[in-house]
Formats: sequence, C-alpha cells, structure tokens
Amino acid sequence: MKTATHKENVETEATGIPKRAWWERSMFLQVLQRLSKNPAAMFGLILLLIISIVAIFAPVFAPYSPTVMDLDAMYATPSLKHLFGCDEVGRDILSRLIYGARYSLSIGLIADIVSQVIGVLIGAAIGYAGGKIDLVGMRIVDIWASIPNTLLAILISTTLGAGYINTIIAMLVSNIPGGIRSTRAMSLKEREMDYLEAARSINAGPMRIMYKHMVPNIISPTIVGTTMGIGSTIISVAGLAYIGLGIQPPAPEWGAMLAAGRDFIKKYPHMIIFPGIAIAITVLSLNLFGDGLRDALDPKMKD
Amino acid sequence: MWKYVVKRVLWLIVVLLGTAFVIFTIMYFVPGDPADIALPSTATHAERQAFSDKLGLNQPYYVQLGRYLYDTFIKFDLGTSWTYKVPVIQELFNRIPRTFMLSCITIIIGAAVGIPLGILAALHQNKWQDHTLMVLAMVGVSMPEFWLALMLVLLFCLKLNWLPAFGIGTVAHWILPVIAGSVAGVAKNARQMRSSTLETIRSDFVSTARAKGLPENSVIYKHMLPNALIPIINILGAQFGRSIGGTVVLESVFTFPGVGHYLLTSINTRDYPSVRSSVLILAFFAAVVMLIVDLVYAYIDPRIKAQYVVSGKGKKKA
Amino acid sequence: MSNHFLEMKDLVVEYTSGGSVIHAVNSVSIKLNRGETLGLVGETGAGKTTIAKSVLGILPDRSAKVCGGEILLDGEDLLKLPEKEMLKIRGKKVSMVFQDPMTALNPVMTVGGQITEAIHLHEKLDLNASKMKACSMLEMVGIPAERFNEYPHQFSGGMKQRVVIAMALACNPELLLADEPTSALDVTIQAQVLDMINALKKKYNMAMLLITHDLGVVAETCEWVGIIYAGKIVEYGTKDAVFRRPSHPYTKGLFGSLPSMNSNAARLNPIPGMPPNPSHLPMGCAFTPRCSYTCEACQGGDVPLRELASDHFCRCLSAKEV
Repeated sequence: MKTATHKENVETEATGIPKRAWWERSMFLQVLQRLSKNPAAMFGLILLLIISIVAIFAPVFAPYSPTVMDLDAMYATPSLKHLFGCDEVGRDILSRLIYGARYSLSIGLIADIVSQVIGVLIGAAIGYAGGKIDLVGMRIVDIWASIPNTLLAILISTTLGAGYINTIIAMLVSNIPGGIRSTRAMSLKEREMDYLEAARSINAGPMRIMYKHMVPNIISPTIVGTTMGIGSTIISVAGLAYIGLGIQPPAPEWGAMLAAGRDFIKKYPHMIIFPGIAIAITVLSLNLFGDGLRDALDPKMKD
Repeated sequence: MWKYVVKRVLWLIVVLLGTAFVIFTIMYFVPGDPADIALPSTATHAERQAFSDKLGLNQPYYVQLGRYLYDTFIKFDLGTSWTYKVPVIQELFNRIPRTFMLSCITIIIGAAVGIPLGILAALHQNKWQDHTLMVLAMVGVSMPEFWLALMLVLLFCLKLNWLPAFGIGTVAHWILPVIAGSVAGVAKNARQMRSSTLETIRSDFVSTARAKGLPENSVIYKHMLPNALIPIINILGAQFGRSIGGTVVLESVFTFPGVGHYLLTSINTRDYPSVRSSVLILAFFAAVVMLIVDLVYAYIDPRIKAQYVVSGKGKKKA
Repeated sequence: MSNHFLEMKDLVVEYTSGGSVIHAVNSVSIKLNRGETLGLVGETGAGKTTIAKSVLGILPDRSAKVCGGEILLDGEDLLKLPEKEMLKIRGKKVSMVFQDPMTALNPVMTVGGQITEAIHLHEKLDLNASKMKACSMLEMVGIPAERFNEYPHQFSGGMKQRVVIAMALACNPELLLADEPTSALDVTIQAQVLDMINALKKKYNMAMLLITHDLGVVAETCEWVGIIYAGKIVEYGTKDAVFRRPSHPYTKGLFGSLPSMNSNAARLNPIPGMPPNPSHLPMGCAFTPRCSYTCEACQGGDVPLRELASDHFCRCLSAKEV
C-alpha cells in the first residue's frame, strides 16, 4: 500500500473514524499479524528458528565433535551409535551437519545482508546523484552484473583461495550488482509516484521525503529479496565448496561434505544423502518464510 | 527497430571488453609463479626466464592487459594451456557446443514446462492443483541442483542401472544432466508465472474483455496470457546467466565433457590461461543469450517497440 | 411481462475478503425504460460498480456472491441465465464502459483489433466486414480511421475513453452501463464525451445506467436519479423531483456541499463524518451517525422507501410528502 505515513491521530468520535487499538495501528504489527495467519510461513519460521538454535548451541546438540576421527568407524552406515553414519575418516555426520549449519547460516546471512546493504547504499547514492555519475555508474554496474555471478564467485575464490572470509568476499562481489540495480530500479519507479509529489506539495523537505515516504515503500521488497537471497547464497556457497573452492574439509561445510561423498555414492550413499537434505531443508524454511513475508507485506495478491 | 538492435549489439561488445577486463584483473592477483606451474620442476632458471619473457609476465599491469585484450579480441588467440601445451581454443572447440546445448535445453524445458504449470496453478487458485504444484515448486527451488543430480545418479544409475552416470556419447548421457538442470528452472518459472497470471487476471482490461461477451477461454488465452508472459520473458534472459553457473557444477557431477568441466580441471591444475578463456567464453554466451532475449522482448511488447519505430507520419499523440 | 426494459428487484450482493463479509449491495431496486437514463449517484465504495457488474454477471466469482434479488431485462432474469446465454448478451444487448480508460484496454492489442473482436463475435460479419465496421465506429467517436492499428499507449486518456465507448457501442446495445465514464477526464473532454454519449443514446434509443459521483453530469444527461448510500437506495425519482426537492438528509448534504458561484463562502460544506464500514453496517438507517435530523426511530429497524410523490421516493422517516 503506497501511502504517506503520518503520526497524527485523526481517529476520534468527531470524525466518525473508528478508534483502533494501538496494536492495530502499527504497520509492523499488522504485518506480523498477517504473517501469523499463514501456516506455511509459520512452519518455515519455526523450522528456521530450530535450525538456528541448533547451530548456535551446537556443542549441546551434537553427539560428537565434528573433527574427531574414529578410524574404526570409517564409512559407517547409519546406526544407533551414529544416527547419520560416518564419513571417510570416521567423523560423525550428524555432528558435522549440526556444526556445518553454523557455516551455512552465518555466511548466508552475512554475505546476503551486507551485499544488500551495500547495494542499497550505492544504488541510492547513484540514483540521488543523478546526471553523469548515474549514467557512467550504472554502465559499470551493468557490466559487473552481466558476468554470471557463479562465474564471478569462482574467479574470486580461485584467486583468493579457499576459506571463510574469502568465500564471503566472493559472495559479496557476485551479489552486490544485483542489489544496486534493483534498488535503483525501485527508486526510479518510486520517484515518479504521486504520493511523493503530494508530500512535496505540502512542503516536505527532500530528506523527509526520502526517509519517511520513499524508503518505507522500498523496504518491503528489499526485505523479501534479502530473505530469499540468503537461501540462494547458501546454495551457492555449497556449490563452491563442492567444486573445491569456498570452504574445504576438515571444516564441516555441507557442500564440501557432498564433494567428499561423491566418490562413494555407490557403496556409502548416506554420505551424500544427509548433507543435501540439510541444505534443502534450510533453504526451504527460508523460502517459505520469505514467501509468507512477501504476502504479509502486500496482501492485495491473496484473493 | 534496427536502431535498437544496433545499440544493443554495440553494448554487447562493450560488455565483452569489460568482462575480459574484469576477468583479467581478478586473475592478475592469483598467487603463484606461472613458470613454476607450467614448466616441469627440472626447468632451469634460464628456461623460466625465457618462459616469463615470452608471456610478458614481467611487464606492468596495463601492458599485460593491453596484450591480453589484443590477443583475445583481435587475434582471437585464447592462450595456450599450461597443462596440455596446446591452444585453449583447440581444447574448447568440442566442448563449447555441448555446454551451450545443455544450458539452452535446460532453459527451454524450464520455460516450456514451468510456464504452463504456473498458469494451471493460477487458474485453479487455492484448489488442490494450486497447492500441489506450489509445494512441489517450493521444494524444487530449495534443492541444490548438484545434490539433485547426485540423487538422480544414485537412483537411476547405481540402483536401477537405467542410465549412464558420466561421460558422453549417446542421447542417454544427456537425460540426467538435462533433468537435473531443468528442475530449478521449471519450479522458478511456475512460481513466477502463477504470480504474474494472478496479477494480470485482476486487470481492468480483462474485465473489459469479459464484458464484451468473450468466452472465458478467449479472455484467458488471447487477452490475459500475452500480458502475463511479458514480465516472464524478461526474466528468462537473466535465468540463462544463472544456469550457466549451475551448468558448471552439474558438469562436474556428471563428468560431462563441456566447458564447465574443463574450467574446473583447469582450476585444479592451476592452468590459468584455460581458466581465463573458459570463463570468458561462458560469459560471452550468457551475454549473447541475454541480448537475444532482450531483443525478443522489445519486439513483442508494443510499448517498447513503438519507441523505436518511426512510422511514416511520425509519432502521433492526440 | 414487465413493462419496464430493465427492472432490478431487491438485489443483494456480498463480498468475502479475508474472513469478513462486506455487504456491498443491500436490496436495491431499479426501474428503467428504453431511451431513458438513470443516474446512480454515491460516494466511492457505495456499491455502484457492483450493481453494474451484477447486471453483466462479471463479478469476480471467487469473492463476490449475489445473495438475492432479480435482474429482469425484457422480462428475463439475468441472474438465472446460464453462462452460454449471458455470453450472447454481454457486449451485444448490454454493454459496459469502465471507469479508468488508462487500464481498460489491452496494452498489446491494437485498438482497432479490440473493437473488431467485439463486432466479429456478435454480429454475423466476416473478419473484413468487422474491421470495416470497427473503422466506422472509430470515425463516429471522432478518431481518424488511420489509427486503427495503433496501440492504446499511443492515445491520450480522452481518446482512450472514446475507444472504449466505440467498443461498447459497436454492436448497438440496448442497455449501456457507464461506470463513471468521464471521471478520469478533464472538464472540456468530459463535455465532449457526454455530448457524444447523449447523441448516440438518442440515435439508438438506448437505455443507460450512468454511474457517477458528479451531480453536474447527472443534471446534463439523466431523466431519473437514484442516490445510493451504504449499498441502499436512499432517494429515487425524476431528476426534476430530486433536484428541486432533495429530501433525504444525505442528498441535502450532497447538494449543500456544492460550492455556489454566487456566495462568498470561505470554506466548503462537507458532510461531517465518514461512510460506514461495509462489513459492519449498523442497525437501522446507515446515515444516522452523520445525520442532523435523526431521531430514536431511525435506529430501530430498516427504514422503508416511502413514496413522497408519484415520481419521488425517499428512505427517510423525516422526509415530508408533497
């Protein structure tokens, strides 16, 4: 809903506008309310919270250490002792999955949020500056964005080498141009909108217009985009690890675990089944929540 | 219309140059001495020196950049592989069509299957067809492609023995890579199309069409559909870019002898000329496909087409 | 056989949205003869467009439901007709002009093509003959036939609306539903379009249901007037009767809020308050919170439509008969 926001309370007996309780008036809480009525989104949110809690308190939940090798249990198939089996050097897969969640979630969150923030800042700055800076700047960004982001990530990972920080950098560089472009596209569209004209006509200054009127209307799609972006970043990071870049063993990254299990598909499929399920469930929960968030922020689409 | 085509083709060239620049610059900082990688460990200091000089590796950055751009775009010399000692172009020659075809087929299937499913879901909104399709699409979008590929290999090659797991040679070798690559595309397109359809169906012009007495089928296929498709076509071009990246990883899973697989082995053997050129070729194809899609999009949307068509009487506005 | 061309009896339409039920139309009755125009006047959200869409049967069937009443066109109840029959009526016997010309046309189809489509569908003409007729329709609304192959975005708002009107009239409908056909246009174009509609109305002896919130438009084009508030008709009669002796407090408020050229008033006179929430309609008269003539009885139960004169009805307990 594109409206100018205002704080004055016009809901009184005199005007006949029905009074609403304070929790009905806040937009943020309205969104939360709509979200809570969406079963799929709540399911996603709860799943996400479970995964996050397990990841944060990994030492509590993991039955074993993720790095301890038990050479007697190499390639062990799932059993009561090792619920998801062991990998090629006898490390417990379940524990590695739990600790691995830390990598996936943290990189996903950091890379995605930071790249969105940088993207929004640069996009807004370029859009605001306008003129030549806009023209040249966007051309550069367009070239940057034309390189498929997986390829860019591969290049950067190859150059910088494997590792946690390097992977984050690779993800940042490949995701930022997208954020810049979509922010700029949105701000261009918003600039034309009548409600900004209306705000200008009552003498609202440019800062106030930017922050009280335009940004709240841009924020919703940005938030949704960020949430869904975490999921695709997690998959990209796993992909990088799979092909030997990104994060490598002994770190318990899910993609790296899949790479290790690749050669043993036939005899020990448990090594690739479980890490993949972990990735899928995590990304699924993010997507379910993101979808629900989008519906809650823009309810027109529902009926 | 031609003005637009020319403009876009010129831009494509700029993009290519820019991409080459980015690729070269990033790889410029790769650690390690090329001479150590390319020459056997028994090479003498003099041989190393000669090698470095030949490749101009001791010259300043901009000279090397210039030389690289010149070699690549004017002489079409994509470098010599440090591992195989043959021109990279030769290695890529057979691989390029394979990768390109794999990417194209997955995109086409993604659209041909995903779009109708999305429409189906939208037309039966909130009924069982919609819910089932959307759940499946959600799962399809959340799975990593390469893991799906591994699962398919597990099931169809190792347990059931129906299809080959790696390599190339027969049509059967393509089936699993294509399926694995298409699923994400189908899921994504189904979701987008559903959303676009739901939005278009609410439009005033759809009500107008109904008010004219058109049967519902005509309203949907003649009026709603062309309009709902327009935003999707726009996205297809960008999808190709992502799919190229996904193809690289898929080729690794299936040991599919395409450019992606070559790229990965080159990375492992630190054969940097091969890495550079493989990435450039892949980026080139992505850019070309995006250009074609953009042109198609401009052609079919009369609002954009009109901007570039100068009619005989000039543009009229009442 | 009813002696009116269009007769709507006690129409009730509800929308369901997110769990709540919205009472859009609450027992509305209308009568219209051929060649006459009925103006439906009311604020946004009063239910006017819903009434028009119900006649054509193009309410969104997911959320809207006709819960009662009859719509008799030449004696036939449109609400009971099967879809196949309705398809023949839409665009041919009954046509509609929508409110917003900017979005009423299909952006990827030529304007000529859209008009041709309507003609080809209903009249027994082949494609070429349909195209010729479409050209003549364009000419009739003042658009040069050379613009047949142009797209909607190449036309201004006023011209787009004329295209929409050409499309609606292409098959010589007997009833035209015009939903605020001039609200999106500026005043000079508005006058042109209204004149054109009137001329066509006389030419084809067409009945018209004109939905508007503009009393000036009503004055120029309508023989009958119906004032709608909260989904109910609160005043109904010939234009002369209603304009000379507005009886319902709402109607009085509407006329009173019109700025007069003569007075030196510094402020406008709006009707105080806001329209009621259609999902929580109060018992009794819906206008009570804003009415200065209200009394105890107004909230007691439904207020009936009383006859003030043979051509003037009012749904108010305080209205005086003539």
